[in-house]
Amino acid sequence: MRPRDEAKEQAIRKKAMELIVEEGFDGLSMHKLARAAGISVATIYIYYKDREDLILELCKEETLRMTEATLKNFDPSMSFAEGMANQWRNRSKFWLDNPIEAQFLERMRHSPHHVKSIAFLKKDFIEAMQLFIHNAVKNGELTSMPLEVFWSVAYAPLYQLVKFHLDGSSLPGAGPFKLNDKMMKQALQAVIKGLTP
Amino acid sequence: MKNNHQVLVFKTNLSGQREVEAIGPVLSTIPAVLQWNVDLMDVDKVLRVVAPGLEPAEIISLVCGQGYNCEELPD
Repeated sequence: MRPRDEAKEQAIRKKAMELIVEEGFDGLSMHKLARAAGISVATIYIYYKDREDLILELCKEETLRMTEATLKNFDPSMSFAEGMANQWRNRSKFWLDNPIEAQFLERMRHSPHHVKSIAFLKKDFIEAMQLFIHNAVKNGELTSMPLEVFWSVAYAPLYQLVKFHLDGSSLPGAGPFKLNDKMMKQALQAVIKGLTP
Repeated sequence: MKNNHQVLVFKTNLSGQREVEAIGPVLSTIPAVLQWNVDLMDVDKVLRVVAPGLEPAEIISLVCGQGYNCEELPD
């Protein structure tokens, strides 16, 4: 049996995500990937059936890593402020530590693969997030609102700051940008204030 | 020497779903073939066969016997 080479497999995964992030899904072909990763096309097919199989495997693994990172030290019974601080820490850390992986997942969410990609979200993750919101509303710490409104107010500001940071610049004319803890705290306080009844 | 590779990978000229379906019956005559697919999206129309212990030549002769090109993709 041809042995699975862990290092080769990792090189394939990393390069594939880089190609997708830089050039979109159309930018990924098995031949291009082989060239970029410095391996033969045949080697890629040892691990993956086809392009679709590769994309979905990547998505499955990265979704799992993302949910594990997001749930770290999180407890749905935390107070709203405490839970939000945990979520902002976990979510920003995952993005900043894994920018390629995080951007790959984001591309998956906004692609025709969307339906398949959300199926990889584990039930315990979804339930923990729902329970947290439910508790916060019940305890009078959070205004009741549609989930999409909550998510957009609660997390979009964080992701925007992280994106400014990864770009190294924010708005036209604003010069270089580097996100720090103080700014993150400031934004989180504004978000909590906005969400509290 | 017996080939123990689990996954065999070939370049073919199978160009559409109908041709892929045409080689199905011949591939299924080999008990060692556990799974197979053709990546029609790839320029090499890659035939991938999971078959422990099978020699690539056996697949090549079967597919070529149906009138298609089939050669092993170099590692």
